[in-house]
Amino acid sequence: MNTATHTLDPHAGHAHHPTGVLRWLTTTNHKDIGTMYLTFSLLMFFLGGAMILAVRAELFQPGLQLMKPEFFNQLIGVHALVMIFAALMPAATGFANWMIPLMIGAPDMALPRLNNWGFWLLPPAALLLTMPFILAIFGIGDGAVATGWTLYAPLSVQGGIGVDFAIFSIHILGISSIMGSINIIATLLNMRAPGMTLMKMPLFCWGWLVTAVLLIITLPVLAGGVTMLLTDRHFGTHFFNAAGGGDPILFQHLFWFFGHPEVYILLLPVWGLMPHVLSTFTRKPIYGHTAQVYGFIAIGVLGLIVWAHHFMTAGLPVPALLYFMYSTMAISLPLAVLFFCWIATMWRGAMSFETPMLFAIGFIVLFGIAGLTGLVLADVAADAQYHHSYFVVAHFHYALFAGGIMGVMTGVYYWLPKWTGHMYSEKLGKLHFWLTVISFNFTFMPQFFLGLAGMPRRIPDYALQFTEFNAISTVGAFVLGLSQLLFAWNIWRCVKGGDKATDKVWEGSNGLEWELSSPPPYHSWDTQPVIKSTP
Amino acid sequence: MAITKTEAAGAQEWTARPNCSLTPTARRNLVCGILAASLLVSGGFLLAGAWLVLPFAGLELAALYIALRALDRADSSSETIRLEGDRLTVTTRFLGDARQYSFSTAWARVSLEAGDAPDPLICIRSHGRSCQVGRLMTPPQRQQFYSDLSRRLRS
Repeated sequence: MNTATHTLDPHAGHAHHPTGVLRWLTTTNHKDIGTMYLTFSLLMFFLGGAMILAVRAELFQPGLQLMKPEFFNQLIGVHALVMIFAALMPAATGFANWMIPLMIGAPDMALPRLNNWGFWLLPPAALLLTMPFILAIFGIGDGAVATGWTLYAPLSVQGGIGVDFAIFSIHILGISSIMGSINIIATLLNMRAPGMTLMKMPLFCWGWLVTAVLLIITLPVLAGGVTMLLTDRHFGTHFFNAAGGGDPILFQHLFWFFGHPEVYILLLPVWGLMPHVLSTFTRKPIYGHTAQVYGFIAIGVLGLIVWAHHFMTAGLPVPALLYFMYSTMAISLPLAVLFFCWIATMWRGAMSFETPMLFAIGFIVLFGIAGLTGLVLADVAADAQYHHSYFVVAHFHYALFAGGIMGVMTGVYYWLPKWTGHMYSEKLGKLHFWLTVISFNFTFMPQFFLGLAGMPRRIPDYALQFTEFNAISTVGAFVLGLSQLLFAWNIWRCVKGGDKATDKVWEGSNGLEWELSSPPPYHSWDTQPVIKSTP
Repeated sequence: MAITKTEAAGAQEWTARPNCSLTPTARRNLVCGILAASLLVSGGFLLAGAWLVLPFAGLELAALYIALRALDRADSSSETIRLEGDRLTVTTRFLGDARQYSFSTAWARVSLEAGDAPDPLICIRSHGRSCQVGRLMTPPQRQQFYSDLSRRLRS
């Protein structure tokens, strides 16, 4: 005789998870961890933003008004490290955690416990990075790292305890990134639903796969470089000390071998996301799926061999300069393929302009400016003029704010209804977009002109001739910073309630993730989907 | 999770395995590719005097290898339930640990019981011995298999 002692409900176990603080400390659920990454990223975005607003306030007019130059340098360095490692990278990892299992039909990430550890390494790392500010208040040390995010030797060899804190923070952030990368590679390669071949994998996943491989190849170089810096500082080695037979330029090679691919590490997930958003709001299939996959791979490979264009003025031999100039310019080719595919996806589509689409179009236009000014900087002759000027500052903010952060905002608006089950306020979203785009250009466009006019970066005081553009830039920065409160408010409102989102959310959305309910069940994909169609 | 069902004369067999989209060959190629790239980079920096890159690359590759080994062990897990004549044989393999149970179809009782998984597992017991199956099945697959096995044991 057979007896059933339980009534079998396929969803019976779905509510079985810890609640309260324990849920967030111990969770191995990809959605919980994704939410934590995104929340952490938003907090760090505001922290890094607050730091740079203080810097812009100092730069509002010439002369020293608000802070000492040492503190100014610390704010700039920590702003960059926080924005890159604690805001942008965790945002992309949050997207990966939330969306990759949903997109490939997997129940969770391949190594869920590793996923939990990877996240919980971030808060102590952020604390290490910012703690020297607090220690300095109590008279311990001389503040945070003041070398800029590049930690160039020999300046960093001579710096205070902030450098040590930054080195340990970078190590921990690196371990976290490695854990995330291994997990993402394992998930994408091993847990795809039956029928989902690699070439059928969504482009967002492809962007992340190339990113994860780049991280695995480049992070040991950064880890080695900062460890050598640490031994130079405290253990009597002379890796970067010319007086002891070392080579300070070696540090620049080590740093930028990681630092340049880092740009693509920040941008590839966003480039992978864009085709999905454009396809959704043009109600057309993605144009050139295969071309974009090869574009990502080409950018990843080229990104590994062009690092020295960041220090072409450091005295490299002429053949090296020519090589790095041409190889850097070659990156524009696969990038042009991506731009072409994005525009071709929109071409003659039935476009509508919801907030994610506005951000996507804003991204394409403004990131295009980053690409074009990058070409100028790649030119070895022109770079001799522009290097270490505000032109570079403007260029990389067009790349990392317009390309990275606006890309993240695109993703948040695009997927927020899926995550929360509620629609955000379109009115607030559009207001946020227009304020962001206008104030962003007011902030950074003048910096191109400042750079062309010869204003160097990383200075708290400047010549009178730069006053007007700096004032405009500061006003723009404050509007830009305050506009982001709308973003946070809109997210908060959406999390708390709002119009119910449908499962598909958008009329033109297409992909496995839209087959699940909004919000998706705690355990995704009870029944494994089988993929039959082409991407 | 994939369940394959085979039927021969007088015997039925169900095998549940985790879904695995990466073949062993592809996994080997992946590790070799990343190893080659990483060694090329760290070797280059070693020649330039930055020998500390190499141990970090080694540590990282070791972590990748351990992670993929853990996946490999998880992927080789299986649950096979064979019904032949008057014997019900269950073979489970989890993380290299293989176990086999044999029950008489006349006495075996099948039930759904809460185990360490979030959803109830299928428990087969007879004469004081029992085993649980269904860890490698999704809840709907488990429901289907439970109905199927119960029906066949009753018939």
